Amino acid sequence: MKNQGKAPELDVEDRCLKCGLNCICVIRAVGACVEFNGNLVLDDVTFSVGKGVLSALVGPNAGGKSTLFNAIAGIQDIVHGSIFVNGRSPKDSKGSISYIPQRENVNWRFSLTGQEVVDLGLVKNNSLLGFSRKASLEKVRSALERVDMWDYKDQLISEMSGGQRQRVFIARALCQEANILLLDEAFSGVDVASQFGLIDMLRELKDQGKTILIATHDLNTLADRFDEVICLNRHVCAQGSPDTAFTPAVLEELYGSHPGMFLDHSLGHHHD
Amino acid sequence: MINIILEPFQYDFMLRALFVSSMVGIICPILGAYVVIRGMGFMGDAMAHAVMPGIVIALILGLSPFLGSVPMAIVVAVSVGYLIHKKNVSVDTAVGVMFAGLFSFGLVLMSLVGDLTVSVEDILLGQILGVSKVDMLISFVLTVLVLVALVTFHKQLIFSGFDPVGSVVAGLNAGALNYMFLILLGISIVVTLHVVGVVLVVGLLITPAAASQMVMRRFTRAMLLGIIFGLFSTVTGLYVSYYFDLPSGPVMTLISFAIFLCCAIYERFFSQTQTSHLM
Repeated sequence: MKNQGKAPELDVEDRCLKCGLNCICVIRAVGACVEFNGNLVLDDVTFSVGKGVLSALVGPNAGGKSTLFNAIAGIQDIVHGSIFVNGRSPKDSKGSISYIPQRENVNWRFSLTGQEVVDLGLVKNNSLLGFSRKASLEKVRSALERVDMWDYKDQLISEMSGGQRQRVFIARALCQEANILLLDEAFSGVDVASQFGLIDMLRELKDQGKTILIATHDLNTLADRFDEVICLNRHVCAQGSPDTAFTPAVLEELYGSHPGMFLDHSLGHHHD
Repeated sequence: MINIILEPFQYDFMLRALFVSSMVGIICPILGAYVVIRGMGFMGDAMAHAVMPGIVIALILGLSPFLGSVPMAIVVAVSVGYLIHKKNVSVDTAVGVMFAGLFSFGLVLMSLVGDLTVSVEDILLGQILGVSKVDMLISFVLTVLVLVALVTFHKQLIFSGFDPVGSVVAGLNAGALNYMFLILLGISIVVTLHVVGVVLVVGLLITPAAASQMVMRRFTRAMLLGIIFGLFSTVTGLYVSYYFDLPSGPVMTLISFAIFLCCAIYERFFSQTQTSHLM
């Protein structure tokens, strides 16, 4: 049943399911299923994301967000359905995606500076010795400057704040020159002010053509900063603009019997 | 003073011992830096024990122990890697199973054969003064091999250790890198075995690296300081064992332990470096 790697080639110009002729579909999942030990972790997942769109993948913990990211990135096989990235199977699309991990998946005991972390973005299997020292430094410097972190280049990443770490990882993604950024739980451990700074920076990147998908279990104050949200609890409950996607029925499906707490939960307006 | 430094090396066996000890002093802290940060200390200890059958078989055949222990180290490394990656067995379990099983097999084999030129004690505690010219040459080639591989794949190893998922998405072959690392670790352990023996390998592998990471914040710089600590431990240990007629392996390990204690005291009272993750 596994069909990754066998997916037929699609035209890159293949249009987004949702937008018709208005945007190019960069990520498309059609009926994708992932199974662990006989349990469906992702069940018939269907959605699409267009080029230059900033999307939030919202859902409860254990709702399959990281699994879906892994499937999009080509490191998790799907047992049914299809996923296309830039019109190709995920495994054929490595290099076009940059993955920014959630905090728990990083070994912080590696004492690396911000500059060293960004430099890792230039490492690839097929270029053992990498770029020349000067060219590497220029790329790293440019990436760090784009995220306003050049002044912190010599600081250890383990000693940075949550928001600064995310910026460094985004700079690494820029070095990788991928057109798709997947950020797993990007706002975890990031204070509210830094969350706004981060999202504004990501909006600038999406305006430059990057397609950005951020997984989070709780959008709260940031919903209106996204172009669209994809609500996931093992399957896609809804996809659309933040204004329209979060209906009571969808919130009930995402978070169970207490969805009211997520309604109107914005800065200075806590559902009173 | 010059005489004290040069006197031991009027003997060929001491020159060979110095050469192999220096090799060990260089590669152990480099590999050890990754081992400490990845929390794989037990893996190093277990691999040292698990190559025992290879050493015994080589001795039975009248060959250099290297010729048995190197292939055995590679078999152990690949087997452990296979159990972890393909069979979803935890690292501790995979290493524990291989360690106990193969070490026991080596001891039983040695007991069955009985009449070997090397005693169990030599294997367990090392026999640095018995290093032959062939052993010296093999340890040099193996050390160069390990160093070339580590320099070439330095960034890849850091990337896959620091951010395993991100590195795979970026296109690195994490499985191949892990197998390569385990094989390099196995080879380094085999070289170290001759110096300090099966029991104390882990001491030279992780102690200089752990000590350097206490006082040096950046990973690569800590690795370089670890080499200084490692070389100091092995070379000084050789002198001390010569002049005080002590077993060289335990003395080297003891010196690296003393360095570790000094670094711990320095870190506690004089440094701003926070290294609680190493404790």
